[in-house]
Amino acid sequence: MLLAAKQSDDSKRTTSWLEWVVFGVGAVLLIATLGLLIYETFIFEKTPPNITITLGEPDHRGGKYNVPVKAQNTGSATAAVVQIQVTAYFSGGAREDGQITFDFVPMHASRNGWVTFERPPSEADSLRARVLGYLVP
Amino acid sequence: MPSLSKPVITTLQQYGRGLAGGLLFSLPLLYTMEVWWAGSIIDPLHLLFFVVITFALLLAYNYYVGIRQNSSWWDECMDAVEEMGMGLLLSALILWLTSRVTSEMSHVQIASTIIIEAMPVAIGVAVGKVQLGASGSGEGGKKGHRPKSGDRHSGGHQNIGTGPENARDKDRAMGGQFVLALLGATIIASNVAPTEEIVVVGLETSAWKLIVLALMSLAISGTILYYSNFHGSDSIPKPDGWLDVAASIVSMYGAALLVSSFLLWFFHRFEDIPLYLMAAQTVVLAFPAALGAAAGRTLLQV
Repeated sequence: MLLAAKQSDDSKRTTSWLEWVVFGVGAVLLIATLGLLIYETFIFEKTPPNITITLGEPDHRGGKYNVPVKAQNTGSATAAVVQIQVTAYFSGGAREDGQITFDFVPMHASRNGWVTFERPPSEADSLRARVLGYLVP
Repeated sequence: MPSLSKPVITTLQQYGRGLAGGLLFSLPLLYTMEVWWAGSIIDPLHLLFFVVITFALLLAYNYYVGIRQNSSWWDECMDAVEEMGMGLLLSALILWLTSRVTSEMSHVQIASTIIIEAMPVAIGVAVGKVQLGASGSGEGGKKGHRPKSGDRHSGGHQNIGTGPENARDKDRAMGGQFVLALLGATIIASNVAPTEEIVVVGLETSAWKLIVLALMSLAISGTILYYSNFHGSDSIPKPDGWLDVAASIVSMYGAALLVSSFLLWFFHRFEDIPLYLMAAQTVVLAFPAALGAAAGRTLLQV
């Protein structure tokens, strides 16, 4: 049907069905792009970076105790050079620090890494993580 | 159906050239770290401007040098939409293959990264469709209204402005030259615009060296246009004396400065810095942009 309709103005220009398909896909993508950007510019609420840290189950590899660290940015701005400190507090007042730096934690995204300890963190009274600071690029 | 197969094959060949051009001209950007980061840093309003301006540039390119003869406004619009679509798809594919967009990223960030990379790809697709074709295949582009051809105005300046048609032709020719300069400048300058190097050079270079750089930009682009027998430079209208040469070179450097400052603004390089540093960075970027503008004017026309 589309082809039949095209036949009539073939004298002006030959548009193959393939071109119509590519044009259709292109039009949908372009409209979606513009729509998304307009939404982001005028409606989407901008919030500063907000980093939350989740620690996973420690494991023992290569003579070190490794704790998985997941940093999640729930804000709608990207944080750069995110420095995170994980501290294990042992009974008797001993403590051990681990540190990790993520180059980028983009908006609404997460990054994963590990911090390592000499002593088993499972023996610690508590294991605490906090964000030391970050840049807004 | 058999009558349809020829246009389909022709179309496929065009798209093949478009894909090749899109990759050829923009792969450096797809492989540049600053551009991946830009996806999560760049303001959506800047991105909106970027998309609209790229679309306008594609429309203008299709109007002046595009692949169709006797085309209408709608045809050029259709081509520009196709090129945008191919740019977006190609950019998404390469970014996915190189693991630059992953499921860890937010939807907004994935979309922004793809859109930023897609714009230069779309320009590459448009240029590739026209420029990479075999000459004499009947698809050489708009012979009827190419920007300005030597044979058209072989009569020299006494021909120009004698009638309304000539005046319109000259307007169109000048507009076409400017669009080609913008496009060439964009293709070359966008490859280095997002890098830190422009900022560093702008910061650390003294003012007198920047002036030499600017003069060199003017001299080299003038050489490309008029004195080096560059491929396609015979279709640049012959100048009427040194004033014409100077005006043409200055307008081309203007295009280079325009493109450079827009790209730097787009990549947030103009934020919280004094005017002098903005100018310094613009001059640094305008050097490759001016080369691109001059080369664009000679090489990009058909």
